[in-house]
Amino acid sequence: MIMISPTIKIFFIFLYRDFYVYAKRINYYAINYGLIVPLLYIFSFAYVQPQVYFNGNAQLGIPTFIGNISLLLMSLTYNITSHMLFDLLNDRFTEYQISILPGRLFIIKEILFASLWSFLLVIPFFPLAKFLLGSIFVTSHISWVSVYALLYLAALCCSAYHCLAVCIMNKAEETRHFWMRVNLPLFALGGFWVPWHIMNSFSPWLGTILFANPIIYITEGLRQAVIGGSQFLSITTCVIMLSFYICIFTVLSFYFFRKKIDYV
Amino acid sequence: MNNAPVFWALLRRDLKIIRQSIFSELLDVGCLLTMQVLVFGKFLPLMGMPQENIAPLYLVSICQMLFLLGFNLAFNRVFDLKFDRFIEYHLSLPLNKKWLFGEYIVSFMIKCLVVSLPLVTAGLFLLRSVISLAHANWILFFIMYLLALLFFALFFQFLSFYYEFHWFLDNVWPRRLSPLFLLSASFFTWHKVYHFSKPLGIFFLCNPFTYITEGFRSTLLGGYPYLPIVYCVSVIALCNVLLIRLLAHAVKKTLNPV
Repeated sequence: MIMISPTIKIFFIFLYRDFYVYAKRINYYAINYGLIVPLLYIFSFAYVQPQVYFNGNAQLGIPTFIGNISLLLMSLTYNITSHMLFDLLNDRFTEYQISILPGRLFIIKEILFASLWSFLLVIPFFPLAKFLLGSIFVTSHISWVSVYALLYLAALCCSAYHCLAVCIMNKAEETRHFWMRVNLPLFALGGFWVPWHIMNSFSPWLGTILFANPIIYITEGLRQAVIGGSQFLSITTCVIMLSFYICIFTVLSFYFFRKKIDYV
Repeated sequence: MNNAPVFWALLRRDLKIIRQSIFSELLDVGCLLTMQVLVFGKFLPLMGMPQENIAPLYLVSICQMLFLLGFNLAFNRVFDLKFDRFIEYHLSLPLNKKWLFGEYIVSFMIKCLVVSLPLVTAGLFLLRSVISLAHANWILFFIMYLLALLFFALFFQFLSFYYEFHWFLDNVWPRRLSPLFLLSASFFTWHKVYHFSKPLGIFFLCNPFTYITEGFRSTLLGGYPYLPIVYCVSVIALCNVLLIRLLAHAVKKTLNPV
């Protein structure tokens, strides 16, 4: 029989608890992030926008549409991780958890849960787009394994990033400044609208700076996995860079969480 | 009850707060504006978007700016209703409740005007090579702007009073704001949508945001091919009257003031 250390057992109990609590709100999450938001994005950015912006050339709209998932992941992971911020203002259930679980494991549990939950909700995004758009959404070059591997890494990266943000923020009121000053430039210059090669052709200097933006690896990796072509960054580069950012954000979260809670 | 002195005192207090936070607000909205100028003015044309689309799409940023400022107002209000309850102090003042909510709306309108106008002007200046304002009707634009400000103030006050804190945080973006924004003529001009699909064009006419964005386009870029300004002004004015009724209902539901 495999012996599991009590700490690991508590880790999984808390992880299970999170799933149990969120499962009670599955309707809300499934309707909002699994249905309404994807439908709006598909309709607006993949169906109407190419007709209006690119004079009916639907294929020009698809790279834009693929990048839109970055905002969905960002808002979803922020929605989940920000509950810790409100909890510390009010209920302080976090303090109970770190009294029986090391702080680092608590952070890993938070990131893991947010990534798994958000990944589950974004699974139908591309199949739904294919179902609704039909031949407009060309999937002849798609690699579904790469798409889902990248989607999970993207969810993990966004979760770690937002966990770090929540650990740094002191007040809930800082949320709007954080979204306007940090997240908005990150996803607008992270390929939400336009692929990296377009921004690079506008200014190579900007293109080089954008390599520091983790969101660019999410959108470029997904564009490569769905459309393919030399104009997008390679999947290997995106996987390596996303893994690097996940490690960086997690380690920084440990540090800032310790500072925030001051646990021994 | 003499309402005017308390009204002015509250307004003066709000103006002082606006003065103190103006740089922070300008920074927030400035980030949005920079992104809009880059994306709509520089990047999308490189992807193949015709130059004539830049001006109507850039003008969406006015609407987006007001949208985000309105959301901030609503967020602060629901936060106050849930935690700080500063509103209870306001309710205890010797001021008619209609005047109090009138003050909230006027203060929001002033804040939006102060924050958004310089940035919109800066954006128009940056994109002057592709945006021609030769046909702009500035008086009509200002009327449309004021009506839009009133609309946003009423709409976001209504949302903050009508919905409970957790519902607001979890659902207001995906279920209310995103559909209103994306299913309007915000990112597309109405005539192009109507040209592409007539039922869709008619459906977009049911959304007040269509009239706000088209109103801005019509007044700044000239009448055709945008919705006539008379329609836009009339519909927004009507929506404002409706929102006043809805706000009164929402306030009564949440605060039950006597």
